[in-house]
Amino acid sequence: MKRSTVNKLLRRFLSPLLWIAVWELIALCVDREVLVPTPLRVAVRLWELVQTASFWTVVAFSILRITAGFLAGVLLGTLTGVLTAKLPLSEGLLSPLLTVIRATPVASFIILALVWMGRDAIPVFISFLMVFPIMQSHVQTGVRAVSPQLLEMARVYRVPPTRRVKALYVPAVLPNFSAGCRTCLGLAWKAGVAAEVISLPMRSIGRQLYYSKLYLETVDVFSWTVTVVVLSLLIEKLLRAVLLRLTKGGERG
Amino acid sequence: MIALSHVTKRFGEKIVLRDVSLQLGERGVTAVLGGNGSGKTTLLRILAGLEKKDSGEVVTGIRVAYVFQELRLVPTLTALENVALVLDKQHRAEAIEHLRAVGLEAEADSLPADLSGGMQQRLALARAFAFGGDLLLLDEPFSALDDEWRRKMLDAVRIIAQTRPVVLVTHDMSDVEYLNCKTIRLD
Repeated sequence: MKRSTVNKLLRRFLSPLLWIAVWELIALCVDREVLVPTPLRVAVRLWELVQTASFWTVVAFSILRITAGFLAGVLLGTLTGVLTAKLPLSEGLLSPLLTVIRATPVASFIILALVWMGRDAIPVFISFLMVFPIMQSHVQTGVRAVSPQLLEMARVYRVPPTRRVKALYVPAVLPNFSAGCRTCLGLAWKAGVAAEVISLPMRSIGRQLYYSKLYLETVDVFSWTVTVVVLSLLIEKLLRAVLLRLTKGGERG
Repeated sequence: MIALSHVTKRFGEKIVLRDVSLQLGERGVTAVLGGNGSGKTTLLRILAGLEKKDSGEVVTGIRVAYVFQELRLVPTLTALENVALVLDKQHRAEAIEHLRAVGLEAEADSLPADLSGGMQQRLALARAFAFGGDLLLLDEPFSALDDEWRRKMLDAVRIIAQTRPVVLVTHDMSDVEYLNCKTIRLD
């Protein structure tokens, strides 16, 4: 068998199986379901959950909240990134705000958000806060990476602004934009679910996690955590596919 | 008439152009000669409106086609798209004709990085020829061309120079003679 095929097999199946075996071993050593349930027990519980309508409602609402925050962060971060790259004054103005957002612990923001807004909006807001500064910085770097020599060429040849954006800016910004999106998606999920755990909106994965913990239903905590991981991976795959199409389109101008 | 009058340009303490005057007339080729660092490219950049003079007078607002020394082709666009980029919407279909004129029709879908140095230079020339404009600026535009294409491109410049002024920076005196250039020397 070819070395690359072995590596692929190892990464796809053997490696996850190894870690599930490690989990099983730990569960057997601890031998208390309330501390560490076995993978099989979690799988059975997850199977029970996915057969209920409420599971899908909870998942759908969490996806909706976190995706809304993620998209708002991507949109505003991109616009702000372009602005700060082109207008140094705006970078000076926004820099303190961005530094504060980056440096403040997410828990502080969640607690403040509890005071400021309704519980349904908190995960959206928190996901947005995680995504916004990272996208701003990635897009700003991308816009600044556009070759000044090519911009001069476009100026001499009086290339219209829309064509300049398509031919010069989009190809330069897209790699940074894609990298930013991929980084932010994981962060948005982690912070969004954390916000749900604290703010307890109705029909949310965070609420399920919180009540599972409260009643020491560790199997449920594990099942919902597995759900979050699987959702995060699936959405990341979807995002990768979208970004790949965008990048290919962008490179062709 | 396109003209520079008593233009001086400094970069920091260094005076790059000192009291340079140049009248281009309605047509013909003007060759700018001089050693390295004598300000030839700076002179072209001032004519293109890319550099500000420190003193003197320059006619501005004209449409300029410029073959840069470092070509400045867009690396993510094909040869055809590089030419079409500088054309108006209604003339974009003509891009292929301009590629044909410089022998790059077969490379229309190639990216600049996949072309040889000579082909890239022809592509930059095709872009400038396609744009037209009131003035053609050429900064060592034939340096990577073989004899055959050098002669063809010189002929193309000679034809263009019958309708508008051309400014050519070159180190090659045979180009100057072939194009029957007026000359200006910067030192």
